[in-house]
Amino acid sequence: MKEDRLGKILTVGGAILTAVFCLAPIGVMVLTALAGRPDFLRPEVPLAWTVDHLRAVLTSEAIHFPEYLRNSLLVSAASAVVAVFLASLAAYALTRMSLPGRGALLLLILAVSMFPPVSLVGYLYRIMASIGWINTYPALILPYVAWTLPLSVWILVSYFTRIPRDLDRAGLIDGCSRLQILLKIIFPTAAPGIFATLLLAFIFAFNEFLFALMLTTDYSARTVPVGIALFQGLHGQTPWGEIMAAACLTILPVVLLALFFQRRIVQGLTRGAVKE
Amino acid sequence: MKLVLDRVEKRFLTLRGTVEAVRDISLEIAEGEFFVLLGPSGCGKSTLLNLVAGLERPTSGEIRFGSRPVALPGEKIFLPPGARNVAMVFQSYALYPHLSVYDIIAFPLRIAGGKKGKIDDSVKETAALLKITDLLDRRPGELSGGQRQRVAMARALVRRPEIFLLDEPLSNLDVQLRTDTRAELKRLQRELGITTLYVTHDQTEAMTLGDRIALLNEGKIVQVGAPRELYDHPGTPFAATFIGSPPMNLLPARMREGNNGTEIETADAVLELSKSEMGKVKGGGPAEVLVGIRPEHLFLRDKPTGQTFSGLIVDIEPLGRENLVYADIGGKELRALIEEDRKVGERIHLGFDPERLHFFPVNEPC
Repeated sequence: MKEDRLGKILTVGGAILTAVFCLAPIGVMVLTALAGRPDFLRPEVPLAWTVDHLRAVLTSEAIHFPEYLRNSLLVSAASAVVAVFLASLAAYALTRMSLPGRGALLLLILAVSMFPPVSLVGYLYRIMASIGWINTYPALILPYVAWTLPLSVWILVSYFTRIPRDLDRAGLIDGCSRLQILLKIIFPTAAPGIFATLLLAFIFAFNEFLFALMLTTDYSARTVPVGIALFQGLHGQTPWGEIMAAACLTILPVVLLALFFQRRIVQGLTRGAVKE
Repeated sequence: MKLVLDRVEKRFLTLRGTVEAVRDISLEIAEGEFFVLLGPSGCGKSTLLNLVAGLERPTSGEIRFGSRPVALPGEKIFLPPGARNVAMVFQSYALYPHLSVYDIIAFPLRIAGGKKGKIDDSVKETAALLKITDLLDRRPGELSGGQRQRVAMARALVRRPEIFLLDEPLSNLDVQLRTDTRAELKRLQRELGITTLYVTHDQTEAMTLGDRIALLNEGKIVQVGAPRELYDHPGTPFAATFIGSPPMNLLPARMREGNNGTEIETADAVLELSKSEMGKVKGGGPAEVLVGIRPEHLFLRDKPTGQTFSGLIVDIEPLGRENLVYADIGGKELRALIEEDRKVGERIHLGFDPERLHFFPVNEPC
């Protein structure tokens, strides 16, 4: 049928267009990282491939990229774990206690996360400076935990609400304390949700720029996004090749995480729909 | 273990005000007794079970296991469920979805900190008792409803609890399985001799399982007694209609002294009871009454007498062994179980044994 074919063409065409739109910048990033010159698209520039940029980023003492990456991974992992643990305690209490005004409290939690970070960063800097935490991991982990907490609470509340309360009651009858119920029954049952939340909190912290820019001064705590932004060329020009090579390496952990946990996340998102 | 409830009350505070879920309930349940809490949904029976389990705190009153108080708000005594040695089977079974059947049954023992070898023995013994030994490696998601129910029972019984609590454990099973499981549950309870408190809204379950039944409505006890007692001598119209299936017919009636004894004027029938017959009737007295007769106690008569209801058949439900006939008696509907085949629209005369009549005061609170 004619309409069927037209529909198919539009669907496939739309999908291709969307994919190109989303992936083109990444393509350009990869090409620039591997090209001999950043202006490789101009006809008069001869196209040459090189891994010099990659090698420079990984080995050059001046660039400090490995340190940035280490800082990013450690800070993001630590803030994700702490945030999700605290959020799970909060979500458990919020879903299990008969609390008048529960809905209002949840909205308040959401409202807190609506503040633009730039409105907080000035005072945050003064606090961190006065306690001497500037350019340390805790200076980043603490705000990241606070910043990802509302989102994590919201996601986990929606997961925990789906776990029947009879499981808690069975746990109580079987002699568990509330903490044992959380650790031995709720956590394993909500594992897909916990993983999804961990991943989101990690990616958020990994991508964060403003706090990291203000609260770090050099490679001992500076994270990748800030590090890349502050790359300096030898003679004042922008080192596009190195920047793009570093960017390529930076998206790797996130892509790997997403691939690795893909099944768990999808399982987590669809499980409640078909069961129960 | 004997279970004593002494003037137990439970009130819930909600945004719409106070809800009295359980009102002034006193019960004494003997060691090894199978005691059923029966009532419609929202009557407070599950709350009462939760109070005994320790999942809820009573607002006032006392709960004792044997001589040991487990909840006494006046003296700030409250034992959590773990310290009471109670076990519970939930309507939803509440099996831990991430554990194998073996681990689920072992769970309460591990929490209590038992030795590994001893736990293993207990789990296997209980699994054998409930015939689920071949399921020990499975997860709850791989089990049928009946199998899940057995696992839930095993988890409850593995600890040899002093008090066994069941919250509508059979209502998620299909009819055939429910009947089989009911018989097995009764046998198991007798064998183990554990004091059992069983919550249900199904009067058949209550009648078949219970040594005694407490009928509850709106948070209060309506009547307590052996199943036969509740069936033969219902104390209120509510008890009369809730127990027995199909439910008892209740007709508003007026009693007066007639020439040859008492006349009962109801619907469009006037029933005449002699003095000696009146003597066997329970209740009676005030002029305005509700007169009750069970459908199974009505039978066909060839012609009207002073003790028949006459009317047209409006509907017939064949039940196999007998027929449930709905008859229109002067604007009131009367249900009768009869073996004979009749047709809709036919005129019938329904007789009864005066001893089978029940009288209730009008407007009695349930």
